[in-house]
Amino acid sequence: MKKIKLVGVSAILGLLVVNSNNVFAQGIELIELETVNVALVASTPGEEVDVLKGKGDDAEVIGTKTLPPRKIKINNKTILKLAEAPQGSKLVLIDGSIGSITGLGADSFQEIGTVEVAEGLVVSHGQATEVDSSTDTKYKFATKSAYQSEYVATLTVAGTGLNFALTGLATEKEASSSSETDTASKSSETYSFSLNGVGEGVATFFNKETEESEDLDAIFSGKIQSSGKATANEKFVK
Amino acid sequence: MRPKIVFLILFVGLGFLAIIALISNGFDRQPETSETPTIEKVQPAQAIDSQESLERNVLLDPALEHSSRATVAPQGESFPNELIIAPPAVIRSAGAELSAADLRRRKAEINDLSMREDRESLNTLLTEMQNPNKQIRAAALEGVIQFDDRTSIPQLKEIARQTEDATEKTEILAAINYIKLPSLFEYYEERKAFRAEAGITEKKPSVFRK
Repeated sequence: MKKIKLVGVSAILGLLVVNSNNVFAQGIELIELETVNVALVASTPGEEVDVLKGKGDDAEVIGTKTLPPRKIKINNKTILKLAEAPQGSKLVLIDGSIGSITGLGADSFQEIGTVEVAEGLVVSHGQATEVDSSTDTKYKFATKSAYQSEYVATLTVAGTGLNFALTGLATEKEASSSSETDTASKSSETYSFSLNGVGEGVATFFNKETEESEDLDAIFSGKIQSSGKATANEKFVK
Repeated sequence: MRPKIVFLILFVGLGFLAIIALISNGFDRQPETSETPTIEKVQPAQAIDSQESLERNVLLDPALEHSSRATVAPQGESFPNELIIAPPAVIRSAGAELSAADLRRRKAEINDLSMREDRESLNTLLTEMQNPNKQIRAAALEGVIQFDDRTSIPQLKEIARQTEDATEKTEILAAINYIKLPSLFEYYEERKAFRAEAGITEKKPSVFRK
């Protein structure tokens, strides 16, 4: 009987020791949202309009007038306001979808449009480097590139009717690094894109009072910038 | 007390401890993966344990109660609810030398501030325009452009006056001109008022009715 009890106690103690020494896989993967900065000027053409004398049914056309061209700013806040995003929202990019994000996690991202970027034919100049410094116990690899190319970026904010394409030179920078040992690996990627361009487009404004939409044809000029970072870290099971 | 009873109590006590340990390990443990390393998203509390993890993972800044970080789940996975994006109240002052991680973090903080509407945030952005670090100054100028408040123009003019770098000065002056422009909403309101006052209708409408 005594032996049985001792075996039982030993077994329990042994179990505790085994549990406290276990190593479990721990990994991390985080992808940061790409931030977007839009700073554009929409230049409207001079609009030719009738000038009326009188009002209502008695109004009479007495001539025409050309309204002066105007320059209008369109930035992040304009796009967010057009999309009726909550105040304080940020404009972000996830896999080509542009949207607003307010803060509290999962439900705060609201897709409001898309950004498509197509590379043009001309690559002005660029450079890329790769560094491999592997050893027996550690593998390291890093790349870095910076190019300036002609790009066409089309921004469509569907819910707001803002739709335009910008063509211009863009600077695109990418950097990645990774390292791996027997016990862990980590990798990191950063990306930035900055386009200065000119293009045509339409901005639609919905007047809530009259419940009418107005399309503003304009020449758009300015810049679209985005940047982001992704990281992944893993620890391997022993 | 008889030795048998003492031993029995000891035995039961140890058994109880073992059960507690097993249960707690069962809750904490991830699904067993044996050979294959698993990847899982980290909780902010885990990530702020060390400066190293901060730089690696770009998560919450432990020096700031509010984070400027936004994280998103990989494609096909749901967003973790615990990740919070809240603009920081204050940007720390900093010297010209910043690590890449600090620089990225600071830029994100500036980006957060630029989406706010309060005077304090604008003042912080304007202050950062005089940061010793050139990249921070550039980010702050971009932040002021996005903040889009005409009351910043006098201060921007003063900063431009004090700026010796010709390129930066030009950029600040260009920003002033940009901020002066009417917004899309102001433009539509202006146009509506102008038309109503002048009795103007459209002749060659660049305005299309839906």
